[in-house]
Amino acid sequence: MTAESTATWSSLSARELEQRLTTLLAAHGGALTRLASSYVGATPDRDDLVQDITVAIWRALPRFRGECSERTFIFRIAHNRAIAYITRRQLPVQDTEGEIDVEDRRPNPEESLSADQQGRRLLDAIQRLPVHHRQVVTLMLEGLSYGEIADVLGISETNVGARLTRARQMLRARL
Amino acid sequence: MQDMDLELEQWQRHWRAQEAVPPDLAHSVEAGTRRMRRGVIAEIANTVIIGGGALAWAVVSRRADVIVFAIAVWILLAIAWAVSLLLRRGAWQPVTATTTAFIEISILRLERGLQAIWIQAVLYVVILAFDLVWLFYYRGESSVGEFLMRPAVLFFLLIVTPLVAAAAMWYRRRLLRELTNLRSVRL
Repeated sequence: MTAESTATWSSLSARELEQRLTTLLAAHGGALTRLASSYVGATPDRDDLVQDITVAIWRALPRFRGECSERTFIFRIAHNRAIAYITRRQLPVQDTEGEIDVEDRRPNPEESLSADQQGRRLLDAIQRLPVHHRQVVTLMLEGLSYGEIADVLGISETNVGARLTRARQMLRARL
Repeated sequence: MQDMDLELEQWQRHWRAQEAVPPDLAHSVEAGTRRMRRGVIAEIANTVIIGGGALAWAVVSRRADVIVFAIAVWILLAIAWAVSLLLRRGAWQPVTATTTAFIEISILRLERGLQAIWIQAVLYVVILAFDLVWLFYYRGESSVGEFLMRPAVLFFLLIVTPLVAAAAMWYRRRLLRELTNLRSVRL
């Protein structure tokens, strides 16, 4: 991102900003919705949360300085809004280490499940992770690098690595 | 390590398999589908009221000019139906529940909407011209100039037509703006 394009972002008209927002949402809308699902599940709350995130991105767009990628920028906003949302709505936040792993006693259906069903199962397992582990896992699954995840969450790359290792162990146990 | 990467790839595949369409896009496509349904209901109502009315009038009056009018009404209704069926073909729902498919269906509907504006404009001109000619003969007018200066005719020519044209141009600009936005985000 160059200084010129940064200047352009802050001086865009409302209509141009709207176009940028549409472009961003088309490119990352699916990822934002999955991210919202990891916090509130595939419920009507998810649509509310995505709406909340969209409004927050819209408000923040003029302040985008190009110090990070657009993807990092919107994921950072999305995670902050998601935390604020579940806190405001007093939705359950599993913020403990969650050592008690409930074993899935269903017969091993791995082979017969469709990719979509496996996705739902994965979402279910991710939702039961503590928030700080959930955050790194969802960002990793969206293909962000350690550096980008660190940037989104405001933690060090070493910390990202440690959380990811632990989160993957927990996920493996739950799947 | 390799196993772990395979595991990660598999999780990523499963994660992205729950293809989530952004709610705004999904809601806008659903709203479009509802509008299309309402459009069909309105066209059925038009056919019953206008077509049925013209037919009933022709049957009751048994006058040649009214029968010509009823035939013309039914020809125009048939053309309108053929056009609307063609324009709605394949535009009822996205082919899959993916963002790309939802964007594609939105683009298709906007393109069809733009085509519909031109077709409706042509139909409007044809209907107006036919009605004026028919009225001229039906009322037994002798002077075209006098007929065109009648308040009802002037009202349609100088007020209704410009208003309809302005509304169509405004709507066309709106559709074009939406189309440009959507084409720029085509994945």
